[in-house]
Amino acid sequence: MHTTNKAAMLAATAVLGTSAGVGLAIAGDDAPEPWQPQRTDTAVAATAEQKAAFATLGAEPGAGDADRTLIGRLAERSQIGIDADGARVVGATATGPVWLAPANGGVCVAIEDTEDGSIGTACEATDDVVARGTTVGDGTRIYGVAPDGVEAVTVTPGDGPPRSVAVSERGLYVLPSQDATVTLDGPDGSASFAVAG
Amino acid sequence: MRRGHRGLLGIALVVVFGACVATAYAGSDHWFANNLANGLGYASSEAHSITYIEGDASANGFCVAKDTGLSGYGSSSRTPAGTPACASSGGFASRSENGACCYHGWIANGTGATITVYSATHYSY
Repeated sequence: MHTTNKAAMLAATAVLGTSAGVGLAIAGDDAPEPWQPQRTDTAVAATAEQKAAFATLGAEPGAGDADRTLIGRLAERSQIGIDADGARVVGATATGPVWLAPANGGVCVAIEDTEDGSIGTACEATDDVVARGTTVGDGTRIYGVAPDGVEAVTVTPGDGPPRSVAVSERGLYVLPSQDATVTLDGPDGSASFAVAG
Repeated sequence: MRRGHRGLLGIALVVVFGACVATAYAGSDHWFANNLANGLGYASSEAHSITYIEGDASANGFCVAKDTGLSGYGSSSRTPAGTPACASSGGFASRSENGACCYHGWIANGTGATITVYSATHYSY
């Protein structure tokens, strides 16, 4: 299906997407539906709730946040309210920085490949991200960002024993790409969630 | 009309024509929206200079990427040409690509169950 009219395409997408969501809700699926971002062409700044969970989203940009070319391009193309100016670097991979970015109703974590000129992201609802952080995979590894105050991360693969995972000062941790349960331990208790590799 | 004005008019027409051609090449393809069984991926039928690729689905554990050499269904474990972006704990993943030519859109379900891929899934070129 092709169209050269992006506005018409986005409108049709919104209608179809809403219809699909309603249809699934009527079907009565027991599993909760994952969050889907609402479209907007306006950047949505970090909320107080997001800043409380991730102080870096409320901090002044650092030297590592200087080049926003690729996160800005992602924000423009995705149309989900990613705030490129409000995004902050929380670590790095071998290919470039890892960004944490507010979006429209959610938070995204993005992995940049600076030399290739590309960037991949995954986004989740604010409630989930505030409670237990968020993750994105690249097919080889899963990159997670834990909320402030998390002191320990434990990963329990479906076929193996639990093991501790190192967490950086900015909350970044790295897992192998495999199905597992991740448990974050912080001052308010622990939170567990499933990741799929 | 003076010769100089004709020249300017000609240049303007060329610019307008060029803009129209560029617009015609910019587009979007919602290449897949349906149930996608575990262990399967689906590639778009057409290849383009992809600038953005997005997947929206009913469960975590799927990946999107740009790819070459395949149209339609394939194994989710095959390695695509581009680096995947995977929704490891949510239902949304996307990539901004460098626009190099020419790639298919690819979405893969690496979970142990069938997922529903929503119609918002698309790539832009």
